[in-house]
Amino acid sequence: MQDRQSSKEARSVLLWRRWALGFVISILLAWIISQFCSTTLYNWSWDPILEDYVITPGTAHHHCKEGWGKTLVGRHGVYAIPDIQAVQEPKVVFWGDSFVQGFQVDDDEKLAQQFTALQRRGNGQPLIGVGIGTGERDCADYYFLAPRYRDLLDPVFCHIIVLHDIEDALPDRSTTRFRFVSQPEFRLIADEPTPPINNPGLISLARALGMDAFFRLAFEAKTKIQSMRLQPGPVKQSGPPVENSHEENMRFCQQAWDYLLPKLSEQMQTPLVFLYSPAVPTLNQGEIIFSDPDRERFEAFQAACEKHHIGVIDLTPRLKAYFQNGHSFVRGFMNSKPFEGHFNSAGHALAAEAVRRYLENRPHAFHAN
Amino acid sequence: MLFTQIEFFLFFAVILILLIAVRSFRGQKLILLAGSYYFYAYWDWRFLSLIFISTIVDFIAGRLLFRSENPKTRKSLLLLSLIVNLGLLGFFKYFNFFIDTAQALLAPLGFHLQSLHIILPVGISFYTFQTLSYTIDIYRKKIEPCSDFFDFALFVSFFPQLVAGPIVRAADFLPQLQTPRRFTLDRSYCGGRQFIIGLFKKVFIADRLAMFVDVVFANAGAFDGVTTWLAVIAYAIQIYCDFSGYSDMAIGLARILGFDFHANFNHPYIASSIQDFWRRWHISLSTWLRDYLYIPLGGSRRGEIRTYINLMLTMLLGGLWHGAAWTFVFWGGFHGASLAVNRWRSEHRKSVHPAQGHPWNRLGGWLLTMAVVLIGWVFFRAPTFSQALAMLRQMFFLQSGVAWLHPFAIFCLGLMAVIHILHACKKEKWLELPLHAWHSPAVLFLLLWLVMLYHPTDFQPFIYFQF
Repeated sequence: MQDRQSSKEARSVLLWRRWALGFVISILLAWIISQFCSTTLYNWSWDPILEDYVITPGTAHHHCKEGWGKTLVGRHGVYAIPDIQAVQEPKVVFWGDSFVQGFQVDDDEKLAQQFTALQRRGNGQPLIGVGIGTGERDCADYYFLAPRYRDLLDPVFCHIIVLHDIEDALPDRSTTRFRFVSQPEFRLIADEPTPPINNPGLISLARALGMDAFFRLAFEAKTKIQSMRLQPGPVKQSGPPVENSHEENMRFCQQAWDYLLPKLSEQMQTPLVFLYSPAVPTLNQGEIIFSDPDRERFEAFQAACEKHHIGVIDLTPRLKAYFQNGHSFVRGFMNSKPFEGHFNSAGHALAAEAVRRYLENRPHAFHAN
Repeated sequence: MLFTQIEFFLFFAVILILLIAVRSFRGQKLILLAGSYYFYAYWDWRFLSLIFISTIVDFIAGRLLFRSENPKTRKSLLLLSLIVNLGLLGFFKYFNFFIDTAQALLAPLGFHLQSLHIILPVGISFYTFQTLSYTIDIYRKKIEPCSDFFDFALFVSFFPQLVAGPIVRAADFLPQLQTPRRFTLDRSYCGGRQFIIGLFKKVFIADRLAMFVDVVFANAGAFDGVTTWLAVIAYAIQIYCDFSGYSDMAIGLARILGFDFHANFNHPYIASSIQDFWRRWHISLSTWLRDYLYIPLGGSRRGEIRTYINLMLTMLLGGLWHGAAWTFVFWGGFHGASLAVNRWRSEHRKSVHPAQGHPWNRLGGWLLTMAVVLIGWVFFRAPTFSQALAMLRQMFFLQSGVAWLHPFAIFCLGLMAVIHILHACKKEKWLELPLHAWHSPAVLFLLLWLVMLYHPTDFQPFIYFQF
C-alpha cells in the first residue's frame, strides 16, 4: 500500500518536473523564433540640444511587421548616420513621419541614404541626405524642431518635407507635443515634453535579454486588461462625424496654409521643398487606382506653396510611370500588402531620384548656407 | 464573446471556480446555464429572447409530442416547432435575401420591394438545428423528452458550442446531464490540449492567413495566377483552421467542464473522394443533413434519379444554410453535383474505389477531390459570382497580374502538407501529445507562446459566426 502511494507520488513529481522543463524549453524555443521574426522595442532618451526625447542613440532596430528592415539609430534622432555632427558636407534634410524613418527597409535603402548614393554616383555636389523622421510627426513638429537642429546639421543645403498625406500640413491633427491648432485662431504650440514611454528600465532589460517580443506581449496584455468590457452588449457605436461643406473645407485649408507656410519657410532659413507622394497607384476592388483622391487639395496646397516661394515636388507622375513601365508598387511588402503601406526600397529610390533631379534642374535656387 | 478574447479567459476561470465551489450537480448546471446566457448576452442581450422562444416552444412541444398518440396532434406539434424555429431563422437570416432576389426579378415590372435592416443573431443556424433535432427525434420516438426545463435550456444554450457548433444532438447531450460530471486531471489535460491546439489553429494560422486571403479575394482578378492559386489554397487552410479550431476549442472546453462532444472534423483534406470529404468535414452538420433532410426525402431508397435529386436538394439547402447568398447555394449545388457524379461513377464503373486501389489511383482521387473542394471554396468565399469567376479565370488561364507570394501562406502550406502526410502515413502519434509524453508540455507551451506573441492585431471573428 505504502509502495503504491510512494510510486504515485514519484510519478506525480516526475510529471511536474516534466512540465516545468517543458515550460523552460518552450520559452527557449519561442525566444529563438523571436530573434528572427519579431520587431524589436526601442527606448527613448532625453536630448538636451533638441530639448526633446529621441530614440536612444546606438539602437539597432529590427522591423518585421511590414517589410524586414534593420535600422541603426544615430545621435539626435538621425537614422543610419551614427554622429551627424561629424558630417561636414552640406546636407539635404529629409523631414517626415514614419515614411522618412523607413524602419521597413535597411539603412542603405532609406530615402536619405539612397539620395546620398545617387548624388555620389552622379558626380554632383557632395550632398549628404539626412533623414529625421518619427511616426505621427507633422509640419508642427518640423517647425519647432528645425531651429533646434540648426547647429547640428550645419551646413544645410535645403530642407525637404516628405508629405504623403495633405492632413500633415493641416491643423488639429497632432498627437505629438508640437501642435498646429485652428482654435481660437491659427497657432503653433509646443507643449511640455513628456516621456513617450513609461517603463524605460523594462525596455532596456528586454533589449539586453533579447526578449522584446515577450515584453511587448506584457505591455499589450496590460492595455487589453485595462480596456476589458464585462457588461453585456451591444456596444454603442458613435455616428459619423459632422462634415463641413466642400467650399468651407477648401477655404479653411487655404487659411491654414497662408498661416503655416510662411512661418515654416522662415523657420527653416534655407530653401524648403515639399515632396508630395500620394498613395497611388493602389489596388481597390480589383482595379488599379491611379487617381489621387486628394488631388484637389494638393493642387490648392501647391498653389499656396508657390505663393509663398516654397518648392513642391509632385511624385504622382513618377509613381504612375514606375508602375506602368512594368514595375511593381512602390509601397507595400510581401509580408504585409504589396500595394499599400510604407515605401519599399523602390519607393525610397524613386523619391530620392526625384529630389536629386529637382535640385539638379535648379542649380541657382539652392546653395549651402 | 469570443474564445480568443481576454474577457473569455476571465469568464471561464470564474465558471470553473464556481463549479468547483458548488458541490450540487443541479447547482453546477444552473451555473452553466447562467454562464451560457451571459456568454451570449455579451454579444447582444436583446437576442437572448430568440433563444428563450426556441427553448420554451421546443420544450413544450417535446413534452406534448411524447404524451400524444394522435398522429394529427403529433404532426401539428412538429409543424409548430418547425414553423417557429425555421420562421425565426428564415426571418433573421433569409428575409432580405428573398426580398432582394424578388426585387431583382420584379424590378423590370415596376415593383419595388423594401429590404429591412436586420441583424443576424449569432449562432441562430446552429441552435435552430439543435432544437429541431430534439423535436424531430421525439416525434420519431427515438428519444424521450427532457423532464427538466433547465436541463433542456442548458442543452440549447451550452456556451462552448452555442454560437458556432458543433451541432450537438439531444440524444448525446441530455443523458450527460443526468449524472454528475467529473473533473479529473486526464479530462482537464485532454480538454486543455484540444483547446490550445484549436487556439493555435485559429489565431496563429487562420487569422494570419486571413490578412492575405481577404486582400486577394477583395481584389479578384488583379493578382496573377500563381498568387490566386496560393490564395485559394490559403483560404482552404484558413477556413479549415478557423472552423476546426473553433470546434477543437468548443470540444476542449466542454471536456474540461465534464462533457463529451463528437469530433467535428477528421482531416478532410486527405479525402480521396468528395463523399469521403463530407464524411470528414463539419461532421455534425453533414450527419444532421443526412438524418433530418436526405433520409426523410427518401435517401437512396426511391430509385437512382430520385437519389440524385435528394442529394442535390440536400446540398443546395446545406449551401443556403451557410449563408443567404446565391454563391452559397451554388457552392452547395456544386458539391451536390459532385456527390451525384461520384455516386454514379462508383455504381456504374466496376473499377476499384479510389480509397482502396493503387496508390496512383488514390492520388488521382485525392487530386480530383481537392480540385472540386478548391473550386467550391472560390464560390464560398467570393462575395459575388463575378468575383468568383475572376478568381477562376486567373487560376486556370494563369493570367498576369500583381505577384504576391506571401511568406506566411507558403509556410502554412508546407506545415499543413507535413501534418497531412504524417496522418496519411499513420505516423502522427507524436502529434497527439499524450499527457505522459516527454515532449507534450514543451510543444503545448510553445503553441501558446506563438499564439500570444504572434496574434494579429486586427480583429478577426470566426468565419462560421456569420452562418
